[in-house]
Amino acid sequence: MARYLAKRAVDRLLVLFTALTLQFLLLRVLPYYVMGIDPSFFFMNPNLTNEQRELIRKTFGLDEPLPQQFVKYVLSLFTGNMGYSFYTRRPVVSELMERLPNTIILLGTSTILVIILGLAIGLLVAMKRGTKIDTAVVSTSVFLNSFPSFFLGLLLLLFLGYYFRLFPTAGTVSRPVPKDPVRYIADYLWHLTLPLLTQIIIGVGGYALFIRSLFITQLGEDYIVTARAKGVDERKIMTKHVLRNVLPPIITTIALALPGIVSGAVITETIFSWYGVGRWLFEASLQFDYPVVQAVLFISVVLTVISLYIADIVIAIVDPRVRLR
Amino acid sequence: MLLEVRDLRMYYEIEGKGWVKAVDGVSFTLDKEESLGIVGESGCGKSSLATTLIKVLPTNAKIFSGEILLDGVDILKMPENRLRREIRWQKIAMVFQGSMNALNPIIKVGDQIVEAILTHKRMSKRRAWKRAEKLLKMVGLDSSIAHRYPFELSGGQKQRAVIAMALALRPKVLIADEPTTALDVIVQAQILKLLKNLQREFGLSLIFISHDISAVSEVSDKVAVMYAGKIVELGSVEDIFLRPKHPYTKALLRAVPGIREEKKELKSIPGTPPNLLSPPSGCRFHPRCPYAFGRCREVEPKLVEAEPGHLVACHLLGGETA
Repeated sequence: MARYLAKRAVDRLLVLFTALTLQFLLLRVLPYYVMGIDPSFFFMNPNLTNEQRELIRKTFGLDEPLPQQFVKYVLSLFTGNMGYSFYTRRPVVSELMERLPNTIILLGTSTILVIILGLAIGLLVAMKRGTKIDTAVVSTSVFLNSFPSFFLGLLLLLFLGYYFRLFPTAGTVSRPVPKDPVRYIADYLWHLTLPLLTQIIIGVGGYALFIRSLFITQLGEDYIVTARAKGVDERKIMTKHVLRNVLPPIITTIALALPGIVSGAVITETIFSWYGVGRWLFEASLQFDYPVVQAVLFISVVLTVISLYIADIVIAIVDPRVRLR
Repeated sequence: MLLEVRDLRMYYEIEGKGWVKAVDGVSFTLDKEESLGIVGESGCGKSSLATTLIKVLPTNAKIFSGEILLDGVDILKMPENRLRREIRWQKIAMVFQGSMNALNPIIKVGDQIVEAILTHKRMSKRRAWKRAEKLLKMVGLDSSIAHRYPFELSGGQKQRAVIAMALALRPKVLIADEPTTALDVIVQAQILKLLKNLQREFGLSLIFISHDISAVSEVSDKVAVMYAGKIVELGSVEDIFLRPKHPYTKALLRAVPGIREEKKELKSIPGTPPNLLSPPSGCRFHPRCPYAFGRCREVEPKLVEAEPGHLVACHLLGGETA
């Protein structure tokens, strides 16, 4: 097991460094050296003299040779120094901290609800396979899973926000911000409803389908028939035989979903003008604000790698085939 | 009579398409310490028959008629709970194709045997483990195998472990469904020998299901030939292999090479097994039968005694045409 985990750690670190290098190439090398776009032009006043421009470039360290920039970039990311936004000139970290709670609340709630609902619905229809409920759930799930989230978001905005005026159409809290903490929370939740609904509706269909097929495959395995023939009761078959076999793929999907709680949902946050990390990433990309882009991408890569490594450990504990090989 | 099966019908429902008639009017008897072989092509319903006998069926399966009398008691009429506790494994145990996936890959072999014991017997976990180890020794495995996971074992070892598990409660009837399939010939021979020895030792009644005619001939006293959900011929091993009467049995025997025989031409059976959603009218074998005549297309032949103890379902042997 130790050898397996060591090997996995090396794999995961390799992934991290590949991602970092690609990020650097895509954000810093490709635009300037291949496409001829200097990101710094976007935030510099065109009336500045060349000397002033050079000075600004120098303050951001853009005059140094590329390899040196790369080393600096890696070192500063790992020491938590994310630099300054080109756009707002504020430290990336402090802007991140403003947006992070909103994203964690939206994505944390929706991710947990999608997993719980998906598990419950998927398990239910797997047990009732072939019935009308199953057919209904499967077709709805396929429909929802293929439904674009931006379109669903817009529909919800149009009907529940604009025609019926049940929910606000933009923002995280009302202006002016309510002073009473209870009213503040209520107002916040009111704003949260539509983006949360969008995230859940979009996510739950696919997850339920995944869980359903996972359980159906397991329940059809020969050893389940053997267990039934042995006279083991259904509940014990579920807990002892099925659950442990479906756990590894479920753990992996959860591990892959967790980093999203911090990196946010780009489309949903943008549509509902949610003051979160996903929308920030989207806006920063449009503005060539690459300190922001690379910070968000870096955090999501690091979290993905950590989260997958934890999944590796848990799976090794659950599955002897992984542990003993 | 230990086990008597009468007119058993079990169909699978396929939504929007109808019923797959996998087991369609099967009757046979099995004496104490007798062994019955069931042969047939894949998809003829032999495995479905096995799972119907202990009523371990998928949700889309339905038993339409029939009786399964074990010591005179119809187990199909038993409530599920009683069937589960008193019959399954306790009285009728099964050996599945162990080399494949009959053992749960992530549970220790010993635990899986212990599970079978503790589901039916009240005893301490330690005693159950001791018993599991003894069972493994009995089938020719080292008792340390109990602490291993199935993926650490070879195909033959797994098959032996599955047999050990089946014997855990000293059942009266042992159903072995393709126990030698996917094993190499030498291991196959060992497993067959083991099954034969254990049958004698435990006084088991054995139902041996296989598509492999030579394996069936090794272990069986009686043989039933299944085609498209029905038994088409039933008799002693000698009856079936030396004096086959049904055209399907004859064709099946011609399709198997014999090692000691002179070179002969192997004849495959033309056509494919019928779709059991809508089986052919009359005799189900008639579209592939070289001797088929008018009556075969219209009337289903009954399984009748052609000679004492030798039953055949074929119009060629019927009163009018014989």
